[in-house]
Amino acid sequence: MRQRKQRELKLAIDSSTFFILNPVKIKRENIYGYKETHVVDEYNRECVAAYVNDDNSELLPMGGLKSMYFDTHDEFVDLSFNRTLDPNVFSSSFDVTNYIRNTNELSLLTSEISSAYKLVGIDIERFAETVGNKIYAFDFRYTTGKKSETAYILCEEKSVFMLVGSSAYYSPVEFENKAVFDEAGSAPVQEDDIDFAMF
Amino acid sequence: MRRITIANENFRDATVCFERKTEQTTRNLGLYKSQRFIKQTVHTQESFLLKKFGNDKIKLANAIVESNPEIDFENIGRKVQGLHKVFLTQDAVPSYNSRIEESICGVDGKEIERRAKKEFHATVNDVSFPIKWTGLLIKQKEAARKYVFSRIYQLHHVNGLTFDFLFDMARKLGDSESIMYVAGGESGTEPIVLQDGGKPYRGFLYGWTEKKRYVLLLLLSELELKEITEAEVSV
Repeated sequence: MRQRKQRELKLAIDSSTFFILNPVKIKRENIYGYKETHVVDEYNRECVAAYVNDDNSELLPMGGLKSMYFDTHDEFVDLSFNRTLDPNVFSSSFDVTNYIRNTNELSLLTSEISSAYKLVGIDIERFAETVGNKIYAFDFRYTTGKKSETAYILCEEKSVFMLVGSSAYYSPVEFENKAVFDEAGSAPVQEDDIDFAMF
Repeated sequence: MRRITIANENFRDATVCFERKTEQTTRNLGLYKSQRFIKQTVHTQESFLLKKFGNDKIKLANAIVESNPEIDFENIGRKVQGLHKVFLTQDAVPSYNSRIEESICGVDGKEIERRAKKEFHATVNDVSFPIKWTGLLIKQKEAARKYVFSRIYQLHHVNGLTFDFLFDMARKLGDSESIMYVAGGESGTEPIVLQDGGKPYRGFLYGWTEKKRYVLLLLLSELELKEITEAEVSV
């Protein structure tokens, strides 16, 4: 069986450094259970999703497509190769010391949280005491790359959580900033809150 | 912008606009353009080929060496333009008479119930049953430590009357340093569903004012930090 890679988060606050081994991702299905969607035919046999190509009428399975990238001269570009040469790529937060800064509820409540972790480890009690009622934050990259999110650290009932997300770009609204409704009958904006579990 | 019908604590309702306020996760390719190609067809999948060769792996292996049935030379590498989703039966032909079911599974992964899929209908733009204040105020400090907010939408006025309406809501919430639990549907306790077939969320209004400006945000959550214990978290 393949061994799970050990990942350690090094968090520095003032003059202390804390080591958090393998933050535990909190999954909704582990707390509330989950729903699975199935498509069945008239004989109650499970169906599988596939695609039909517009100009081909060939049936394509899920995973039967490959995306490739081309430059302006229609030459193939290997983006993964470019990425390794890019000097602006930043290390994963698991490979560096993360200096955490004090933040507030406003910052957390105006961020869309994409993942939540429970922090565990031998340092955790000492770390929980240090965090106390405050909220801390740092720039978080799960893997090496350019884009970072913000990780918020907070305590709730002696447990320490790390919530990772991105700030919302809200702006105060004045009287002059009247909004306009979408045209009646226009297609609703498709967002990722559709239940696509079956696909 | 999209419509939301919302009522204040005095049950006065209005239809206003709302939009999501986060960075869209589209990938910026710069000068590059992407194109999709066919990598495999249904008729070259291992499961289909195994059936074709009577579930005899040796026969299939010999055929792969001799005649490459796993490669569709006609189609592999062709550009894909538009795609349509279909459901295939176990015989790998499109199903024309399928139905959608859902199974409810517990935290241990075991199926508890199987039933026809229950679709949630949008509750945000129902003029008969606006999104209501439930009266449950939660201090901002407590809310930040209790819920995980995965979606944020900002509410906007559409005319002078709705400016006053939303400004007043934002001022009350700001003064109380709290967020208000809101709910929809006929009973006024149903979850917030943004579109038909969408996910149900718990909704909260968060707002404040700055001189003659206001910020009113609809925070959506489907996870509570408080309910998590060591045993419930999988490693």
